[in-house]
Amino acid sequence: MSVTDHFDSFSRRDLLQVATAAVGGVSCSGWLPKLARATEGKRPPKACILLWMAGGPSQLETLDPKPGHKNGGPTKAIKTSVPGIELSENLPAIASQMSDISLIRSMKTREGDHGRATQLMMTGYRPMGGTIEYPVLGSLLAQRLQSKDAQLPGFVSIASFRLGNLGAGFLGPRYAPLLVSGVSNDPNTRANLTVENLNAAGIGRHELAERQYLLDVLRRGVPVDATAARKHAAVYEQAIRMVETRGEGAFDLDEEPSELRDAYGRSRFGQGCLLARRLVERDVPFVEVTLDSAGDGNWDSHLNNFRSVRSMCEVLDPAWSTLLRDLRDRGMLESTLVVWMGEFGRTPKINPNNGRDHFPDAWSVALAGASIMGGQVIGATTPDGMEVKDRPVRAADLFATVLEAIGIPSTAENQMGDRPIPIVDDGSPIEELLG
Amino acid sequence: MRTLTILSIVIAASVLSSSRRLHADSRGDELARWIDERGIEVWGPPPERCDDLTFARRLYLDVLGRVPSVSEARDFLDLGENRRDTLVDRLVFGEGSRANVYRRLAAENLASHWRRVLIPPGTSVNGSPQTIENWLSTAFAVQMPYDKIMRTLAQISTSDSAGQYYRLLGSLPENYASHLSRVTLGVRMECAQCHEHPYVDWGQEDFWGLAAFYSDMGRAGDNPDASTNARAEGAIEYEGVAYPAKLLWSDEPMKKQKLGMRARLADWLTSPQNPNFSATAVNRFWQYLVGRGLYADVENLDRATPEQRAFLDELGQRFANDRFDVSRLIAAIVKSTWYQAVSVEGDYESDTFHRSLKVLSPEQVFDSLEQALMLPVGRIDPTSPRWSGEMSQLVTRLSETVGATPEEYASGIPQALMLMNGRMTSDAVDLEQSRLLRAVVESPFFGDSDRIETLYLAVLTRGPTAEEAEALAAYIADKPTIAAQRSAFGEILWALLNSPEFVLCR
Repeated sequence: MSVTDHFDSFSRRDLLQVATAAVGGVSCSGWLPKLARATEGKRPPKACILLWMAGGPSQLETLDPKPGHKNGGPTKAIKTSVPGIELSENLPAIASQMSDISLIRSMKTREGDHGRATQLMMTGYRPMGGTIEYPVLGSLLAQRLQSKDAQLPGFVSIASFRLGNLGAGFLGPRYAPLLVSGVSNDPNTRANLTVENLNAAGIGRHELAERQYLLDVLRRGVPVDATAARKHAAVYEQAIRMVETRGEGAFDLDEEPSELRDAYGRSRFGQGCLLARRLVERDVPFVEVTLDSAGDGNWDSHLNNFRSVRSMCEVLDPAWSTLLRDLRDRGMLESTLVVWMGEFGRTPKINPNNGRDHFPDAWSVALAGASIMGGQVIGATTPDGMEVKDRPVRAADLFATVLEAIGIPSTAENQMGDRPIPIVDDGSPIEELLG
Repeated sequence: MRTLTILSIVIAASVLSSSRRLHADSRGDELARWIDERGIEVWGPPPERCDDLTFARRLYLDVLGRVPSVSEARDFLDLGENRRDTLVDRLVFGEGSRANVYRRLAAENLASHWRRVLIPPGTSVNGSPQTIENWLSTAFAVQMPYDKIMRTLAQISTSDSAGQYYRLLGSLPENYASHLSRVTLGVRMECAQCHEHPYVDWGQEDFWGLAAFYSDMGRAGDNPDASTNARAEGAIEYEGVAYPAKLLWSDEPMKKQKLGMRARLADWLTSPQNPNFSATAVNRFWQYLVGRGLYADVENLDRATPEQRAFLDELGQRFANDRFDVSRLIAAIVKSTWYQAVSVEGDYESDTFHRSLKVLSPEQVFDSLEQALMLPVGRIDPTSPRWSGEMSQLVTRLSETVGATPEEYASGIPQALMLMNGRMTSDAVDLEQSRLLRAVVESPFFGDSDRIETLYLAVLTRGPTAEEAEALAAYIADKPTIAAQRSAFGEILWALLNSPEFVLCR
């Protein structure tokens, strides 16, 4: 049972009392023991890291190789640490960790356009027009998992590359991602991951303290109990604290042993995965790390698919596998779900440019950590890869599985004003995967 | 004979009074008085009036989209007894020496606001919304009546019509129709797209019936969902069911007539006899100016009870009778005691009147920074933030988190960091870079208290309170060297720009 479940069992009046107590500083005796029980022995809290493969990676060159069939192309399959499961030769390090990872090889999603498919896989809802803006997975989880006194935002997005205007939707900006940009993707230089405007030139601790003092002087000018003014003060307090502590120190990747940083790979994505672990350690419940291009490759491999995907995997394989190992070594894998997916797969049939095109009919994703039972394969594709042979999984089913794996009931609802909106669009969790 | 004389006197008097009335209300004064009185019936006696400088700050922001300059604020205080009405006439109707500039700014500001109404934050947009904003700006600049603006939007003939609004919304008839009913009628039907609406009686035949008016418009993509357009306007198919074009609140499908279906939709929608159209219009203007709609849930007016919307309907009818004149409506609202009420906070009952702080829009934040900091504005000046890309960076970042109503402050950490440490702020507080700071710090006629007062006036449109003045004077005096004292003004300016009062209009 998760922290959220305990919070859910709070009555509305309890929550109001908490809110009043937090604002007015009145006696806390009424609710404190309950809160203490709710959190007692429940460390570490659940978290999720999404490795977002923008562009749509080829399943045939990653999780579902088809050697021996002409659709498989030149890609070879290799054995993994789990007998009977094979992966593409592009992922040797991941293959050695197969016992922690489960594959879904039967994704069937109907959306073959980057924008629409991204919206589907990020929100779990098919784009429908109309004016409901569905929140993305990160916002959904941040809203459920972020602790009330969190210092860092509940949703951090690293090196994000996104089509369209996806974000917290009707959940509101409180659950919008904090964007972390990487200045360089050159593996020879430091991938300079940072939050925009985190540092001001020439402003040290002393200057910051002075500014805070002056801000306090000026706060007396507006009605302090105004809702908007209170929110303003809260946001500034958080922002100043982030500047002061440089994001609770999360961004100081130099603190990590050099060998570990090398193991992740000195790429933006590799260092982003390391940063993701450091953020989760600091109680950020959702971190998204995007991989969209590396060297001369990208996932959208309409041209020269095989070379392109190999380049991508050279960055992906060490980063992803080191992340899993690092989480396991620190005892965090049991509480941290790692999701690997893109917006769709690629056509099994190889096109005249030696490439593969968009393909939502039968493709693969991978899950590891939290309550996921590793070493399994869900579903299968036909020998030519053109169709799902067994157990089709829709985006909503994947969302339900992800939610259940970190302790959120997939039948939960959100409120948009007074309209209940199901957190998942009618999906069923894949029970075999959930321990 | 005698009767005739009396009759003619009566006629003359009534002609005189009606012409006087027309004349008297050319600046919205009579409607303002009606609003004052009608408000008392609803809410009881009005709250205390805000002070003059607060009024000026509100009006400059609401009408021109930026704070007043130091000299504009001082000029206003010198205007004499009737200065508030005079300022309204200058800014809203463009009277006085700066008429052309003010008219242009006012049109741009209204356009930027209505662009956000038409395309709310978070909407997936296909292309740059600048096209619709430019189109709106032209419409407001030529004083196009409100009903005509909306009629033009309803009656589009191609996806390029009316600032490409159709294309921006993704070129789908159902998207267009549902935004149109939301914007103009305060009716949200998107839930009825796939199932019957659980709370209000909108059904699929309403949703798709409205979409059918646009069924001959181009459709985006390779038929991504189950709906298909008929070749001609007037019918749309969804999941195998054909829906004929049908007006809301009507059970009968539209019959074919000589006049095109979309023209008839536009007629019905924007008619002075359509109470939802005029009520939603005045509710949106009221919300923009006062902070909270007369019926607060502006986008769901169909859920209001007749009692809740009585004031709104009457004001809407007056707006319609005045041929939907936007300037006169704005003037009437800002001249009313309700707009000019002091802002108060805390718990209150929903049936009492309440003026709260209003959050500046991203564009207002930039334009106010530009004004307050005396930034260069010329297109050829490479240091002008308006053209160097800094404006678009700031506005883009702030636009990520715009609240659903003017009362909602929605900024997060990235937005705060932008105003704290972003390039515009660091330039502003640097004596070498900042025009405002240099003007203030290096002026030989100023003592420290004048300097502080001028910074306050430039950024917050008020002087410091006695308490603030004292604390800040001590802060400066505490600095060990002249150089440190000079840069201390930069720190004070930093705090002013980051104070809640800068982004929340009091």
